[in-house]
Amino acid sequence: MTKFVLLLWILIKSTCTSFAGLASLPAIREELVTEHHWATDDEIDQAIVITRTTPGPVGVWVVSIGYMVDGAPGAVAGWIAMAAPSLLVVLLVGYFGRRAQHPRVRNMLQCVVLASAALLVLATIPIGRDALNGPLMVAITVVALPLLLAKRVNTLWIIAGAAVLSFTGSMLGVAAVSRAPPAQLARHVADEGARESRHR
Amino acid sequence: MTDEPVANDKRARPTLWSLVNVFSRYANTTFGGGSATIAVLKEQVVTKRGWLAPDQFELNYALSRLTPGTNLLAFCTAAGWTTRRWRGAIVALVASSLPCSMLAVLITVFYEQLHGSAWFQAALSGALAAAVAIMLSTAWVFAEPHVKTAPLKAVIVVPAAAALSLGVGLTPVKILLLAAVAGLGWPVKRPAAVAKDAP
Repeated sequence: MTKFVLLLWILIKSTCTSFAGLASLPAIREELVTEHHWATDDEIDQAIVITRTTPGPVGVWVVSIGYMVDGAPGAVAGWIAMAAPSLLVVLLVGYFGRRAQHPRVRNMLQCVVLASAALLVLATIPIGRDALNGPLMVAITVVALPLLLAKRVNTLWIIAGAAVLSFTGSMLGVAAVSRAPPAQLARHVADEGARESRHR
Repeated sequence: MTDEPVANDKRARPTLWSLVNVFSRYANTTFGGGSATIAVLKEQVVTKRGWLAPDQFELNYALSRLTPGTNLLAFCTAAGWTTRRWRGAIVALVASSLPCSMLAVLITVFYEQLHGSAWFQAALSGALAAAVAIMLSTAWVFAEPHVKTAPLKAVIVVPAAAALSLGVGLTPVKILLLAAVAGLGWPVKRPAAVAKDAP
C-alpha cells in the first residue's frame, strides 16, 4: 500500500507538471531508476516502445511502467496519474467558454490551433524518417494521405489496411520490414521528452 | 445511435452511453498520437454526430493543448464537459483512457513474445506508415478553417511556430503559449469604429 501511494505520488506530480505524453519521462526516470531503484533504464525504454505499439495517447507509457514497478496496483496508479491532470481542462473551458465570442479569445484560439498544426507537421519528420524505410511503406503513406484528406475512408480502416499490406508484403518478401522500428521511434520520442523537460 | 450528420443548428445532446461508445472506440484505436486521434474524434463529434459546434471544438482543442498531462485525454474531458458537464467529463475521460491502458498492460505482459514476432512487427510497421499520413492530414484538418478565414494569421503563425521549434529549439508548450499571447494581442476591429464608419 505504501509503495502504491508513493508510486502514485511520483507519477502524478510528474504528469501534472508536464505538457505532453512523454515530457514527464526524465522526472519519472530520475525517481524510479536513480532514487528508488524500482525500475531499470531498460524497463523505461521498454515502456516507451510499448506506447508506440499501442494506439491512443502517448502518455499511456506511464501505465506500462507502473505495471512493471508494482503489478496491477502500479498500473492503476499509472492510469490515475495519466488521466487525472486532464480534469484541469474543465477550469480552462469554463473560464474561456464564457468569453469564446470575444474577438481576442477567438484570435488566441486561432493562433494556438495554427501553431499546433505546424508542430504536428514537424513531429512527422522523425517518425517518417524511421517508419518510411522502404517503397511499400512510402506507398502506404502516399496512398493513405489523399484518402484521409478526402475523408472517403475511415481512419481505422486505413490503419488496418496498412497493417495487412505491410504484413502481406513482409510474408511475400516484397517489403523488407525493419524488425525494430518502435525502438528507433522510442529513442526520438524519449529525446523529445527530455528536451521538453530540460527547457522547463 | 446514428451516424447521420445533424441537419439543424441545435446541438444534439449525447447520452452518457453514446459518449462511452464514441470515445472508447475512437480514442483508443488510432495510431499517431493525440492530435491524430483528436482529428478522428472531430469527424465523429462535430461532423457526424453534431455534439459540438466547430467553434466549441476549436475551444476544446486549443485549451487541451495548454493543459498539463496528456492532451488527448484533456480534449476528451473537455468535450464530455461541454456536452454533459461533469458526468460527461468523467465518462469521456474514463472511456478514452481505460481501454488503451488495459491494452498497454497486456502488451507489457506479452512484450517479449510480441516484440520478437515477425508478423507483429510487420503489421506495426504498416500501421506506423499510415500514422505518418494521419498526422499530416490532421495538421491540414486543424489548419484549413483558419487558412481560409484568417489567412494572415496562418501566414505568420505557422512559419513562426516552425522557426521557433527548428531554429530556436523552443518546446511545444512554450510555442503554444507564445501563440496564445500573440493571439490575445492581435489587433481587433472595434465595433464602435465600424459603426462610426457606417452610413
